[in-house]
Amino acid sequence: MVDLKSLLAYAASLGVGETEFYLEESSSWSCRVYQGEVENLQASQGRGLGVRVIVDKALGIAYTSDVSEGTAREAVRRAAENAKISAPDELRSFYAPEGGYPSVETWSQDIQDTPAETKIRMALVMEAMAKQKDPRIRKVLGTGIATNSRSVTVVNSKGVNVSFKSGGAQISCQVLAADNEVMQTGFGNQFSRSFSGLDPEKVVDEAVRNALNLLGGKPVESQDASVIFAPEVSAIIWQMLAATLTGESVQKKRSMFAGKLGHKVDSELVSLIDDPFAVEGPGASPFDAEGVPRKRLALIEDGVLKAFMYDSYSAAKDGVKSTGHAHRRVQSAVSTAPCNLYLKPGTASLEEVVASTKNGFLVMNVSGIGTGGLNQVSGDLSVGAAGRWITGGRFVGPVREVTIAGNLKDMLLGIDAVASDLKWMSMGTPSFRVAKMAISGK
Amino acid sequence: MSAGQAQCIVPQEVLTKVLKAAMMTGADFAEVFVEDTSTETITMEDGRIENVNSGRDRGAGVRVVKGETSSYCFTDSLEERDLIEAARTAAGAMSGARGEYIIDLTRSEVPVISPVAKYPWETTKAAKAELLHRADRTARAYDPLIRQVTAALLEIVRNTTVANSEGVLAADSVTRSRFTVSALAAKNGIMQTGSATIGKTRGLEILDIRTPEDLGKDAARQAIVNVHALPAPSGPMTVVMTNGWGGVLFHEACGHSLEADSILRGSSVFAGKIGQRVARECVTAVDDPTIPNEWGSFGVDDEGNPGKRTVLIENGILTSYMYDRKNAIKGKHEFTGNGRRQSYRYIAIPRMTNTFIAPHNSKAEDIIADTSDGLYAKGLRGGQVNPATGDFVFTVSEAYLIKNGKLGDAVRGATLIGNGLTTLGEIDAVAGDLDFGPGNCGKGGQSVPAACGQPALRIRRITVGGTQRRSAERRG
Repeated sequence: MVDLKSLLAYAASLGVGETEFYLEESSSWSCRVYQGEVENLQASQGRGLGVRVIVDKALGIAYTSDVSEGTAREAVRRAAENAKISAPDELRSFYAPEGGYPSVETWSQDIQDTPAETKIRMALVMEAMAKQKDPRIRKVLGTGIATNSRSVTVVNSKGVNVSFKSGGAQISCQVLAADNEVMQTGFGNQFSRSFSGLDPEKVVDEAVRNALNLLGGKPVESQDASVIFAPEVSAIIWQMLAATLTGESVQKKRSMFAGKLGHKVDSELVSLIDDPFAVEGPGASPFDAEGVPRKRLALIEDGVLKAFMYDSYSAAKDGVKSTGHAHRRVQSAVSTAPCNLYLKPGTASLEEVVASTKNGFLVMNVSGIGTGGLNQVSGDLSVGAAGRWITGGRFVGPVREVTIAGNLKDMLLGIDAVASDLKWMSMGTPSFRVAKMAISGK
Repeated sequence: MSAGQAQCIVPQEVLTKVLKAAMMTGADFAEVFVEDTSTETITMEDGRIENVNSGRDRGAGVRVVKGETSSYCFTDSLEERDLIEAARTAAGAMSGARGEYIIDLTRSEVPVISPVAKYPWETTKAAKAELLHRADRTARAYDPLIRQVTAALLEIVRNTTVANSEGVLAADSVTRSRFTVSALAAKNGIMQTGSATIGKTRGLEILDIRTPEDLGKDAARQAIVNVHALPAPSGPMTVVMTNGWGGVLFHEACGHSLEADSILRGSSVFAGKIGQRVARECVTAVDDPTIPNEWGSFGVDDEGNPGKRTVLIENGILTSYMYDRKNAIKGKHEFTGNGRRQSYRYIAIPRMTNTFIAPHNSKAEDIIADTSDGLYAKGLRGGQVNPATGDFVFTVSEAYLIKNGKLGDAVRGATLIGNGLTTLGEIDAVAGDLDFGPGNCGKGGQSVPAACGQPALRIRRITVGGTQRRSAERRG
């Protein structure tokens, strides 16, 4: 593998002003079992190098999956070439270190040390367990386990040279429930920082419960009703919302929150926090994609918009400092994104929230939200949904083939309950309830 | 370079050694997939070239199959020792041993499905930047309410070589280009977007089909239509869809449920229905990677099997599913050339290519004229489906009400929601004006280019999800 120090020297020899390398090395193992047999095993070591250069104040980018010396040098040359057609900007500059980095400890040695046989056995046990849970579980469609470790190194010509290794384990199970001709799938999964933290039975129960609770769902009459979003759905909504809480999206006139800093944008029950130190979350890390130290940032506190997220370039445009929210993958350009978001849980349990709902809909699945169902610019939301209907504080039956629609701004202000059932997936979130939304069905 | 067979990325002798190493533990089958892909993107925002990115993805994946188990290992290197190491790792997941396995590779004839006129390297980056500027200028000049324009050019040259223990050796080279313009319009705090895209398995000559000006204007026009549009109605309606990208309806609502993996798991609504009527006479549906220059076209799939035209539904009768190698063997069906993967980092699974509803005998204008009350969906974004239930949803990007056979007010924020089987049965008129649109289809964490196509067609009854309740509207 190429030595990054000597690659910096190579870039300098080409007359490149500033250079930055983003190196990812990962080791992943995964297994899927089906009908008592191992169906698929994968084990791989992956690598990739992203190169950014600034030449005459213009940015150029390149990447390569092959990090041998020759290919890495070729990537540096291409990045320098690309800078020639980019628009120059005085504000372009990579990060120069100012002091140290926080310590974030996410590595658990059992991720690496647990033998493959133990992991495969766990998946097989989960599959067998799922079949036994209920006579209506006709099939276990897939049961998976994966462990991975990933290290990120950022090196630049301004003196940044940092590395961070993290790891995690994941289990998942998908079941098919059937009642005569009616079928319904249910999915359960868990992400854990350590192998020992995995709870297979909980995941199986979740998959079975999700399938059975939705089995035989029917559309309801079109109406306005309270809507409770389960954590899995809540996570999708808050992440899409957070994408608009960046300096970049305000500058590009794409944020519906432009000019709203210090204003009430949500119900006072809502606090949305990006916390790089919450190690339960998958994004916990000490620095961002530009090597800027991470810090805890409250985006929304008690319903009031408190901050936007910035990377170096968007921060320079607004004359502020980067908040450590530069995000990238090896193949992509740098953008701004949250690292480890969570919605602060409330005190009432989900059961209590349901019990206090007169006429409502617990939404367990949404579809189409990422494919245009939520317009991040206008806030218009219109998505397909499945879940359980609530009348007089009790579940009365499964619902499917309906849409829920409204505008995100109204929806956020209409939140009248946040439950205590915080769950960490791609982000941490509890269930929450919106007082009234339009549901269209029959 | 432009004609004739693609080159093997790794020499045949090396591939033979890799396959021998992969078969060492007594496997039934081994395969090596080698890829060398170059990707160039240029993006423009606010009239400025923001990101110019050049990428190279080069590596190989080795699959070993024994009984019901397959094992996969990839490497980000094409060095012989790394390839053999990957083969040993994949083989190491199986227990067993055997002596030397004879590998006799025979080079397949791979047809050139999609000739390219202007390869990415034949145009300077400065000239490409100017194309983006042209689109940007046209979009901004369209209307003073246009606030923001972004444009992007993507060019991909994907070279692949596949070899397997059954003697298959096939190399393919596919060049794809896509040009996208998005515009944002704002009025009284209402912000709406519009976008226009062309994407084909071609070079920069895609812009001879639709010019940057044409795309820029179309994106701006849509944004302006939406900013002035009324909220969409909700409830069951008759929907007429325009030709082209609207085929994403079939792709989502039925296509995914016709992929053999969900069929063989019994988790598809179409399982066991071959030979049965699933749609009206006017519906014929096809998956075909051999359409010259279409976005999802290729010579061989990512398992080395030739691309084929597969008729999925013929005059309403279900005729075939789409198979990768594994599911074809399991389902005792011939290969259909649908084994695809995002890159060498992934195992191939059954995927659609260019999937479309075939032309029929109606005319688009007659279909609208024959609809007394409904919604005309002129543009669609994307959608999603649960293959087990067939429940789908997708988002309409440009829509108009139809009243007494005539187009009326524009409406925004509509989704279409329904069930694949049910909705398929509701298609009662299909026009002859087949067209396609480019998409990136996600499944199992992998994204592959897939074209969706259809002529204009009518769905008798489907649920429209909007904010304006129709019953309330009638009462009011």
